[in-house]
Amino acid sequence: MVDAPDWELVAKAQSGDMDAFAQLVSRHQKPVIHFCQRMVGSVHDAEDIAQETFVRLHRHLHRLKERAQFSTVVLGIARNLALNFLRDSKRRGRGRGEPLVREDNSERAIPDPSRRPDREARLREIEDLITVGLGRLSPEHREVLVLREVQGLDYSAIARIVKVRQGTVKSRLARAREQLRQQLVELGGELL
Amino acid sequence: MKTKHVLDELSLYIDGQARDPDRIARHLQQCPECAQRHMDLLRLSAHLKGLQGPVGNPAFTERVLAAVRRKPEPNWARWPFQAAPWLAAATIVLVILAVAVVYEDNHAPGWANGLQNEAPDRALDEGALLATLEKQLEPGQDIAYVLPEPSMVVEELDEVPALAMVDVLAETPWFAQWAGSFEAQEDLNTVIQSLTEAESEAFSQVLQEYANEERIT
Repeated sequence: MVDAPDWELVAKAQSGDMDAFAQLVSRHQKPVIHFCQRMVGSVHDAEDIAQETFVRLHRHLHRLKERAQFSTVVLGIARNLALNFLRDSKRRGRGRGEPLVREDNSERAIPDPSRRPDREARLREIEDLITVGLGRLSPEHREVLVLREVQGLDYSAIARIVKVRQGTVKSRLARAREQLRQQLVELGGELL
Repeated sequence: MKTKHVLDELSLYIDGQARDPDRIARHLQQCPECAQRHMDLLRLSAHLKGLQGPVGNPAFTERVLAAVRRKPEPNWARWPFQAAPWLAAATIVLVILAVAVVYEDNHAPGWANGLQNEAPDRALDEGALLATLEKQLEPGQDIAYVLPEPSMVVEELDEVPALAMVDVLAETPWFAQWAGSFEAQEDLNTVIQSLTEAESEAFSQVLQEYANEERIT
């Protein structure tokens, strides 16, 4: 499905319209930062990667052609940069096996007044466990799980971003779910 | 009647992609083990969907725009030769290789043999290149996994291998002589990006020789 409004903005940005580019950034920053956050585990690093994603998007605007959803293009860039970050971190000694720590983003998140405090605490506990569990998955399993469950993308879009066949997406997703389920059982089974 | 477990199909089932959802649904009604796993996966899915994301931040857009303005487009005419002569030297070597590859593609059946015959000193080590790729790729993994660059060029599939070569070249003995000159992988990426379209295409052809699935997996 073609994401016409986005591609119209791309066309304007290609002709030098910075307002159009700013709209693209504004429109896609949340999913991109969130994806990066779930991939690398740090909001701060995620924002840096997301920023570089949009900088590179702008640098290569002239090469873009209208195909499929624009969001898959942006997430594809973010995915590559996130993998580079993880690879570089591993080289620097912040290995893949290091559990990702949830940062306190309470200033960023808008509290939901409808949530009771005890329920809020439980949700935070679950989120912490999932964050740690995600961090223990390999990047190739983590990325398909995040793209499917957090970003809500279908198999076809994930295959395009990860650049594998849909069959590979299906098998990785099944393995990722099972591995994360086992992680959560080990970490705090009663919460699952 | 007890039917075969459906644990392996539950991931597809909860995504609505199972081939025979009715059969799985019937099995779940009579198998506590599969039903429990099904519930676990549904809860897991709900938890993942409920993860808190960032809120919209106008300052982020401003940061991006400021960074875009700070980072001018690479200019082939004025950069990188003035700033870094070693980049120029490395680029020249890459261009020579690209020209040789184009020549071989047009005049000989295999690029590697001809290249080695005509320029043995600078020929890529085919074995090392393939070994490098195999080392970086797991069985069945896509070549794109080693891509160091953004994937918008994936939309231009023919350009992907040229960028993937950055990582591959960086690991080969052929390129070892230049490796010390590069402060960061990003510099090498930029050199590749600075190649003309024809040069980039030539590199693509080289890597496609090695990146086809039959040889990798």
